[in-house]
Amino acid sequence: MKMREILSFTLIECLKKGTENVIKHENEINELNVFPVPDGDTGSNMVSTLKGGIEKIKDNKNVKDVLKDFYEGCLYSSRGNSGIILSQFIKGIYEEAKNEKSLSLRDLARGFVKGYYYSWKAIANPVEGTILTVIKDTSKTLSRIYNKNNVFEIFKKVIESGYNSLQKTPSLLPILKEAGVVDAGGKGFLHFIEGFFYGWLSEIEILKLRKEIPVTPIAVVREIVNNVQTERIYPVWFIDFFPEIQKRMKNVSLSSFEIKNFLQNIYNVWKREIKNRYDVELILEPRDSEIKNLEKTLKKMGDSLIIAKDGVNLKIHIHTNEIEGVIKYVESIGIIREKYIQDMEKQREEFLKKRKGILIFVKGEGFVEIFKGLGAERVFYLDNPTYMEMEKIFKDINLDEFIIIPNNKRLCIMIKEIMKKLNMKYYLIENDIEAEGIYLFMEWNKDENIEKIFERMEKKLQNIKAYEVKRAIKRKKIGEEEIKEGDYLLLRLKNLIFSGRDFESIFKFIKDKIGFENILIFYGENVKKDIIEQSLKKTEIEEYEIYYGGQKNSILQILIEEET
Amino acid sequence: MKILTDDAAILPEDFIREKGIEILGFPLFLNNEEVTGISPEEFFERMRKGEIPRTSLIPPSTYEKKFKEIKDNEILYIALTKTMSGTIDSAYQASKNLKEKRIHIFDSGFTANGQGLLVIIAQKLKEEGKNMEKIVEELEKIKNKIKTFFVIPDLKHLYREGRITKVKEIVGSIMKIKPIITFENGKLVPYAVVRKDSQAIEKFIMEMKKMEDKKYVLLSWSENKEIAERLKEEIERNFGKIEIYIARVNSVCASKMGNNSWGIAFV
Repeated sequence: MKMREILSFTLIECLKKGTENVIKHENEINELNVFPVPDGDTGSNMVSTLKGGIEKIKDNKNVKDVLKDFYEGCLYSSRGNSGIILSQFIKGIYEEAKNEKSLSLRDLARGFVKGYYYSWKAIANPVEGTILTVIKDTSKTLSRIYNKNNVFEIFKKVIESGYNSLQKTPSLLPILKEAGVVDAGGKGFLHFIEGFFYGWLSEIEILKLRKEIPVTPIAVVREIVNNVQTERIYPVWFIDFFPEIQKRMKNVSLSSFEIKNFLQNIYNVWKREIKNRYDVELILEPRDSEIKNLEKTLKKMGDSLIIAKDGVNLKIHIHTNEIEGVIKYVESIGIIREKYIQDMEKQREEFLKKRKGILIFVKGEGFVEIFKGLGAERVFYLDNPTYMEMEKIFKDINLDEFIIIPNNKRLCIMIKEIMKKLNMKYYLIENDIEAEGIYLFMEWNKDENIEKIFERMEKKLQNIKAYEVKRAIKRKKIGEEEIKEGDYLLLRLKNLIFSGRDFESIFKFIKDKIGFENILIFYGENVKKDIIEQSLKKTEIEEYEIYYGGQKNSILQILIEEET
Repeated sequence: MKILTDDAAILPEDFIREKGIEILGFPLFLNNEEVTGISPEEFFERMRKGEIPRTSLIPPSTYEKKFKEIKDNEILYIALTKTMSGTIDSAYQASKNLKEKRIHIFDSGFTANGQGLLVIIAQKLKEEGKNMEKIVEELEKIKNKIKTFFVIPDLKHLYREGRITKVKEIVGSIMKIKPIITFENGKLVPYAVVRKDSQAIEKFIMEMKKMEDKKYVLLSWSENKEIAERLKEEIERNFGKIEIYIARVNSVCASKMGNNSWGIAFV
């Protein structure tokens, strides 16, 4: 187990693994992001930065060139504070790679230190308790122990020191403490180097440096704030994200009230107003190599200012309310080559938005396919579900508010009871058959006010012409009409509309008495499609579509389509 | 100042001609045979028969040639969104070699109707006498407000090229449906499915009602002009005073959106 130096091939692997590891944790990182602006995009910014680096790397290159490509790609695609800091860290690694053929642990350690130096220089006003602190602490550890024997142990120690450093961030940066989270960028950085080290060790036995964390913190917070189920927040993985809770839980167990309060605080930090709303990034080709007062002038227009040099170009990042002012000024000193403006308020809104969804229950497997084909994500096919089965579905859905299309009136009472028990925000459409549900589903739109959609669906339900065809199981007299056993019954909203001896008579009735532009037919479990088609042919109906529904309680469901 | 765009944008033919808008064409292929400049009729017909369309990036050399060809000293290039193509990078490359001209490359953030609408608005602003900086500034604001929707009966081309996410199920839908696609953060995503064009019109009107102070609409049709006319009538009936443009989907857009697509962008 030597691996004290790696070749360019493994180096590429390291960079890829590092990037992949950040991608894997992108959402988690986003959700920790409260500093400098709680816009929840740190993870995405880091991913965009690193991906840019990976895309730039060409194969068959020496170590130095791989790092050069990676650095330039990162810098070019770097987004946000964390992206620029990361790219500057990589610049350090690149510059300290002394040998074209291989990268040694010594180079890496020196690179870490230089990277640490560059990353602190990248920021106009560096602050402790951020990614910078984590970079600093891991660099220190690596440079202290890189010449130890066991490479695996070295990496393990570096990662450990990184996580200790990360745990420390809230005590260094008040806003993190207030929110009770660790720094997002710092966490992202650790994922990157963790992946990088995996790559380095890829030829040795791969051991896990750290245990996996399965759920994102905000998902947990949401669940608790909206719906106190405190017994679920004790697992260790949860505590990992919130050092404050960890500390307090060592001695006492928190009451559900305290935990809820604590989590509410995290939410409040997120809801705080953003001082400078727009995130502006520019690549500028300056007219003169020296620009007087560039930093000073820009500082007046916003915060989170970062200015990085990329050859002749400058990369400028600023959070500002005065987009026009910034652009005007920058254009007076050079040519803007690229420009990205993001509205952080919008991003934050997106993040804080409630999770909405729609649940659909069906009575046949064919309908599962049909609804999924329309884009429905949550379709449940249950044959006479029990209360327990239904309750489990709702317990696991993980939505803040939702519409339910039961396609079965019998389920409605049960659903209402479960909703009451679980105290959930729901909108229940009380419809009975899938043919209606299909048309209702088309009103769904996840971005719209759910109440409005619900109102529209309710209104629409009144106008949908959906029928069922069943067979009479015994003789019966309804009014004047005598129904024989085996007769075909055409029903709408459970009321008998017509009865006949065969499909043909039913279709003839629909054609002559109801009228349509097109009819949709969904046939049940033991029905033969060709018999339906033959009957349609005999009645000279040409505008139809037949689909397998698979329902057991009726032979056919029929939906009449008319031109509106 | 000259306004330049690429043919990922949909624009009315007469508008292009009258206003002297410069357009760069993406190289277009059918079953790997280059057919750049093919008529929409022929293109639609061959695509219907199953020939597989494809486009490639506009090379920096084409950009450079175009930038040089344009006599004006200032060029505003309204480009296909970076999120869907790397063509904007070609443009940057080319602009680097032309220091004598002021070339502003504007990432429209859209394609098709959205991009086209930005070109129309840029032209309006130019006619109002605004300079390039001012125009870009305005476009930057307007761009965030634009909404656009497309009815794309056949999603297979978008799906095949990986240009649309979250549609796996819809692509394989058992039922006959018409998916409606929208733009979200520079990406194409499914918005709804409908069975009939009239339902799509209903949804478009509903979305338009949500936007206040809208001024411009760009409608597009590919093989059925009547649908655009119907939509236009509905918009006029609902909103009265609003500037409506109608354009035919060009072959480059059709190569992604397939047969029989139509759509709308408004702001």
